[in-house]
Amino acid sequence: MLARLVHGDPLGVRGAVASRLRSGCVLLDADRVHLRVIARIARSAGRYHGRPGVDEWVDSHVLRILGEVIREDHEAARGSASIEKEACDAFTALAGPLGLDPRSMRKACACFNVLSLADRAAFIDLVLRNRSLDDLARELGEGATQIARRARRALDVILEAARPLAGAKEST
Amino acid sequence: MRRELDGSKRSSLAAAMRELAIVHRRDQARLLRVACALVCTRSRLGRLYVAGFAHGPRIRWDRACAEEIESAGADDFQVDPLLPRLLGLSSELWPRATSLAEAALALLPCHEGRIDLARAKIAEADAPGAIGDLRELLRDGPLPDVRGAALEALALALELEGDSRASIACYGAAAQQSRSDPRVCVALLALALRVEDRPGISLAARRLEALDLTVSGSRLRFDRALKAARGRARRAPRDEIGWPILEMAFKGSGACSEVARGLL
Repeated sequence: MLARLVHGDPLGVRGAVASRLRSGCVLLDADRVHLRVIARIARSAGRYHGRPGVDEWVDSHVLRILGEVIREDHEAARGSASIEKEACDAFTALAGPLGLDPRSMRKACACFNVLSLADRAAFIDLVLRNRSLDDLARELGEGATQIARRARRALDVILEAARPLAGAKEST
Repeated sequence: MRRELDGSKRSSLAAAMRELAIVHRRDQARLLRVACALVCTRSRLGRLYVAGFAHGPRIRWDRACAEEIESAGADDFQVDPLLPRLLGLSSELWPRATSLAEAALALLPCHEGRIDLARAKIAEADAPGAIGDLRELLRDGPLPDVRGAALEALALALELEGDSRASIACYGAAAQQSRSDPRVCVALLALALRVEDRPGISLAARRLEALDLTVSGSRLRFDRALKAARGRARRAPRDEIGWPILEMAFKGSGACSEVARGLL
């Protein structure tokens, strides 16, 4: 079953993962989340008897795995466990523009993902999606300064979290 | 091209198998932690000084354990050797709670597992060990829900050690975490009334005022929390009943009054 879920996508897991990552404004390796979700689905399929509907069932697994992965990354960032290089490859695209290495970026994202949704959304909209502050303020019905402050808070958390490893990178 | 595709498919499947291994380890660690919770309930200290340690009936655990053993076998993954041993055995013959918690942590090091090990130490009358572990965990900056659970466990351990002021401070901090369970406020109010800690009494009373005991789940959880608080009070040296308890019992209302009357 696992092979079928990996090679096709009969349950639409990729779409469900992408949707939750977008709406939750979290920065995670989507492939890792996708594979953990289908592993969990393969493990629990024997207990599924048609209720709730399959989309809702898949989504409940996605939510559970998102929480699990965010918690794991948070605890790893706080501990001394080293992170494998391969586990950080997905963060290369994000790391470059901020002048960080992928390993630092993964740690920074772990800290970012536990911020409030408002702060995460502001950062993603302004910094990653390059949306205009005025447009965002109009859409949300909030002051531009408030939104900018939220994005700044999130950026500060990312840069602060990445600092020790960024320092190590510079010294090599 | 076909060779490249096959290589890509193989590496995706290998990565999926690694994730499936994590799923099995998590499930086995959870089973060991639930087993630890079941063992904790066997000791008087475990029943009075351990809270928020979820477990269901033994039969549900057996079913889940048998399913995990079968599933891991079918996926050709290792099963922790403790699990098949526990499955066939009366829970009275299970290993100590701390052994089960340590085995779970060996499979899956995590903050929740560390709280469970501390709970197991409390149940085994090692409050100083639990206090040290929980303080270290709180220094590691756990997420808010885990922080709340750690604060509550620390408050209970400190209460067991007789350090009422420090215990009240931890209960108070736990009560102010978002989505804190009302049982924390019941424990805080009971202890604060006994040692006449006015700020603790006020904080707990403010939170318990909003508690609707007519909701059936609330009533059951409240009664359980009050029973444990009364049990802890009976273990403590008996002083005269102070004025705060009497005032709350006869002039207070709702949940607060019930807690105070339970201490008379």
